Amino acid sequence: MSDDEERVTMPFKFVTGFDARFPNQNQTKHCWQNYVDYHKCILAKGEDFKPCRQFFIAYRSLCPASWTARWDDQRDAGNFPLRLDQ
Amino acid sequence: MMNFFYNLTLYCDAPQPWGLYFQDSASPQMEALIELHDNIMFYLAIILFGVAWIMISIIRNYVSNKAPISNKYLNHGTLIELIWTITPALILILIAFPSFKLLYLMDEVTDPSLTVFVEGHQWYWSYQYPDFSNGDDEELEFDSYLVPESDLEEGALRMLEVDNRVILPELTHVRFIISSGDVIHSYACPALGIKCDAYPGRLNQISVLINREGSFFGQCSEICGILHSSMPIVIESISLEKFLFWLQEQ
Amino acid sequence: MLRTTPLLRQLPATLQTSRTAAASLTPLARKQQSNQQQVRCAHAISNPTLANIEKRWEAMPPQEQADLWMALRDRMKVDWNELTLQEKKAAYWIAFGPHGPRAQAPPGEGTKIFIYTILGVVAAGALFGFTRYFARGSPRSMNKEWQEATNEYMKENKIEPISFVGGEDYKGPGAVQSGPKPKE
Repeated sequence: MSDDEERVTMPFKFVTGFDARFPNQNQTKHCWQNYVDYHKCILAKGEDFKPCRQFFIAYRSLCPASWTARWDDQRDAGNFPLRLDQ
Repeated sequence: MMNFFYNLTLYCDAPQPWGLYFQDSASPQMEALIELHDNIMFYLAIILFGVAWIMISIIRNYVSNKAPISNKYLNHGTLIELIWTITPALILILIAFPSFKLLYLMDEVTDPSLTVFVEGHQWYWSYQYPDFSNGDDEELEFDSYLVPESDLEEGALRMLEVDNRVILPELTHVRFIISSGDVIHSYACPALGIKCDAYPGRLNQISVLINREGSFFGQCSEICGILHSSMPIVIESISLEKFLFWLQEQ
Repeated sequence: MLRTTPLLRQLPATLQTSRTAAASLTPLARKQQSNQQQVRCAHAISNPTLANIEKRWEAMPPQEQADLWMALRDRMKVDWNELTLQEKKAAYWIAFGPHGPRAQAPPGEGTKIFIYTILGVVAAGALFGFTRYFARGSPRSMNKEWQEATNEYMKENKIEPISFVGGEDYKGPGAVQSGPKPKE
């Protein structure tokens, strides 16, 4: 719960911000891109690399939980449709 | 039994019985839409009266007992043809200017402060607030079902009430990300001026700023099966403090 | 038949005044005149042919109608002032008179249309009533008490405050549109 209070005391937090690559209504690729970028970032730079966090926040707010869960499962099973280490 | 004369239809989309006009607006885009509607209605009224006048004059003056000799050989009339081609084109241009302006304004992306994730299912909506989670990585999510008629309290709006409403703070840029779990639905709330289709496998983004406190009702707007009429949407907007208080309770 | 009757020569207007006058020309005189001017087809059509065309037209066989109209059309190729009054009247009547496509509706048509339309409406209403007779009753919320409670609910929750019940100054029935709840 303390997590809640910290976040909400900033009234106008910018959740994902504007990404010029995805200006229109269809945000599917936006969600996908953030997920992929986050995991590539982690693989390349390690989990503690601070700027990766931005991708994490973006895809957390943009993607449905069911989608991220499915992709996590795919990654664990080695089925993820993209090579994350390139 | 003989009540078929008394069974007046309550148009559930407007909380007003027999309402013909829009619901009261609660967001700037709805206000702009109403203004555009009134603007276009002006041109429509001109066209309506002009065309009606022409038609009535023709019918009255050229009825066969007043003008029995018909002209069978009229083939061209370049001036009048020019007039009645250019005039509608001009009217359309006049209509198009405010329309496109509003369209591109509405498409403009604002930096939202809050994201609500909406997923349509057969036959309910489920909502997630992905920005807020407690330490256990548990998200705020809930389903929103129609309250059946037998469970309604007296005075509640039939076919519009849901068990869990979407609670939002007023005067905050909210972004809805709308998707679907099975078939196509459409997320509509006329008072806020939003209507956005929900497709499986696609995320549609729509942004809203709610001007005032209150409850806003809407219904699913894309046929999705037998209970398509029983998937209402209720968005309740409350002040920011109350919103934070509500969040803490979850 | 028409082709065999001798066509009268075009007579000056002063001579042609009545229907009987044309018949007074002797056959010889007619033949002589038609021999002289074979080039132009400007022969006046005889009055007996045109007499009472209005009454006779419907009864004439189509071939005869066609022949008469052809003859008149040929006549109209010259300056129309040269046509006899009978020809002018006949030509106008055949072209624009109330027969064929321009026939007027028989008397009583309007009443007939009205009666049949009303019968159709009554039949549709009867079918509607029949199906509605077996319908489920109106919903639980369509009575005055419920709708007054809806008005209260809207006031509390500030639904539709600007133009409807939710606001303070609204005077009017609000959501109330039904009669009171029927006694159980």
